[in-house]
Amino acid sequence: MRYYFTIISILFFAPSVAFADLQFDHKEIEIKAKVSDEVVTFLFPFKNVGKESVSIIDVNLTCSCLSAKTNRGSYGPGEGGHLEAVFSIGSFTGIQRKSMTVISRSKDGEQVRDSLLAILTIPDVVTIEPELIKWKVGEDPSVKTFTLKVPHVDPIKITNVSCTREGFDVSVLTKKEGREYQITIKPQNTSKPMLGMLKIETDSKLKKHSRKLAFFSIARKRR
Amino acid sequence: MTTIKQLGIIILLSFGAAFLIYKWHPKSPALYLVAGQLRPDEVTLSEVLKLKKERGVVWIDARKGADYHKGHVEGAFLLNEQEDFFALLEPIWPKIQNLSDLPFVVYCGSAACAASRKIADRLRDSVGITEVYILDGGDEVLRKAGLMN
Repeated sequence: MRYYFTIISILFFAPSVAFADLQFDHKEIEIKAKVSDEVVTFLFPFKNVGKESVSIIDVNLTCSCLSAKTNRGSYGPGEGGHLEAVFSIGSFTGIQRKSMTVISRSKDGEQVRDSLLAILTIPDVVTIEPELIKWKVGEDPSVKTFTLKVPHVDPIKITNVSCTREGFDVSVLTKKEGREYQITIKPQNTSKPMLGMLKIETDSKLKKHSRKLAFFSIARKRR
Repeated sequence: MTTIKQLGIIILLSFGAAFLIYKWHPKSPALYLVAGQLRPDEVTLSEVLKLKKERGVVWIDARKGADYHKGHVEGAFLLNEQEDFFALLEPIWPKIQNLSDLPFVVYCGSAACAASRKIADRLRDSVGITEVYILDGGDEVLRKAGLMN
């Protein structure tokens, strides 16, 4: 009786007790990006604590914003290395949690998967609320407002606002110089469906924040 | 030996019961990744081609710029998150704003790619495009159909 239970236990639990030979110093790294950062690099140091050499055969990434590489492909017993994961910030904002799986293989052919997590906090430099203003076709062409705020330590001023559509009255109201602005927009009519954009130029020295976009639409009524 | 037999019978009975419930339960869920199990905003290539014939479509390529430049669907616009969505959108906006009546179809690099959904959500929620679909199967189905140039 005890014999059968032992066999069943081994069959059920054997896969989960396969020991990883690569031991990572940290499986989770958190970084706060600087305002000027366009890419952020995460370094995950590790050591081969096994008795055989280990090869890293693949790194599965969960986001196309990440790229990853190791300093070598194979690590002998006691040798250390690191996985370098590069996060391209692009248009991401706020807290981003991206996982990756390192697949390694020891000399005896056993594969081991290690999950790593990169947490990146990207500061909000300029915020626009709402991102999209909508009217419905035939609706009262009322004035609507975008609010632009600069929560970042350095103030940013609006230098120009242009509209990609004719037939809209746009004006900028300064609530607090360099900190908060209200951009009002009013269609002359809402007779036709339409999509448009406001280009908001600023005096920010950072290219990414020197021009912000806000969108508006006159949408068809749903049947 | 009796224990093994009993264990085997219990396992077989469990599988049998599970199979019968799955087979005849009126609300039995479809198995994951069964063909045809698409979300409301996901479309197959044949549906897109039908839409294209009837009304025309706007293709959005949500892959990395390097992949887009190697080859993409004819007329597709590049929009992704890792190269700054808004910086990519601004130069193509004069065309996009005049095509907003058409259905937009987003594709990315694999069937499981999350980039299409993120870009589709942005087009709907931040930009105001009302009809946005995600191509089931990603660029692989486009390549197989000979639509990637």
